[in-house]
Amino acid sequence: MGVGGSPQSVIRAARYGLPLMLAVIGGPPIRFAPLVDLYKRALDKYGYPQLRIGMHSHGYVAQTDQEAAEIQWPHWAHIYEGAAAERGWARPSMDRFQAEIDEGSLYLGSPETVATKIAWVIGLLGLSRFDLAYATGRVPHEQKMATIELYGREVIPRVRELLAEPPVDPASVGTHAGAGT
Amino acid sequence: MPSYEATDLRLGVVGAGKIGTAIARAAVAGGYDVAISGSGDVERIELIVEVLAPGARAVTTDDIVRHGDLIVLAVPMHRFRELPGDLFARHDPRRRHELLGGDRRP
Repeated sequence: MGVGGSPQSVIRAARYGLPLMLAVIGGPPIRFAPLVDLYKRALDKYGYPQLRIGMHSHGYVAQTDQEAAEIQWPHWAHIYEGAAAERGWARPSMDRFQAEIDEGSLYLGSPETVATKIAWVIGLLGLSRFDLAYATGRVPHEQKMATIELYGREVIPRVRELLAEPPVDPASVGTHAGAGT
Repeated sequence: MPSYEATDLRLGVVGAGKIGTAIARAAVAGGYDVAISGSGDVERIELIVEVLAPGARAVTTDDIVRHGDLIVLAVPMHRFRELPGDLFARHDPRRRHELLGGDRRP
């Protein structure tokens, strides 16, 4: 069952004994740790075994961190301009875009940067699945295809490799601009 | 029901959703005496409050109105009408209450 952060939705998923899918579209993913805890406690309460937890976040993969940011920025900004007008959010800024890349919920950069961040969040929240909502907004078709290819050929195998090793905090990996703090 | 003898400012949060629990958690960390209510029975939000806002007490909305010095309504806009129309008739007018609009999406 997909949930967006409402605790009542998390309780509902547990009450029906359904696996959980967290939609995390902004901010540091650690904010969802209490909801993961709530889900586990609620499964216990309703007499179910522990079930799988997945997460969905946005991102974009290119050859380099800089290229990924340059391609994604105008389309991301356009989407968030619309959301700001509709929902009363703050207007998007380059600073916020960069903050989402560095410590928030954009999995954006080179394959190594994105793989490092995905492996980190999987360990952080104990996930069994990560869905990349690739290319926010109207990124051109060719560039979407390129990100799919890099994701499949490079990011996913690298995430599996990283998960086989002890967990790494991306904050300690200073060489990847997209994954520092 | 827990006693409300504390002399500190008592914060009441109506709404145990995303916003209400975040405010409750921050207020507990700030040293407030915090009570929080949801729609329906207290039992329905006990686990949520215990996990997401430890230190806050799960109570009824009626208790919040009677005992809170500062009250936050963290209820979605489309559900404000479900609050009793005379809710604040029970509230001591010397106390303050702050209105906080929740998520505007339907």
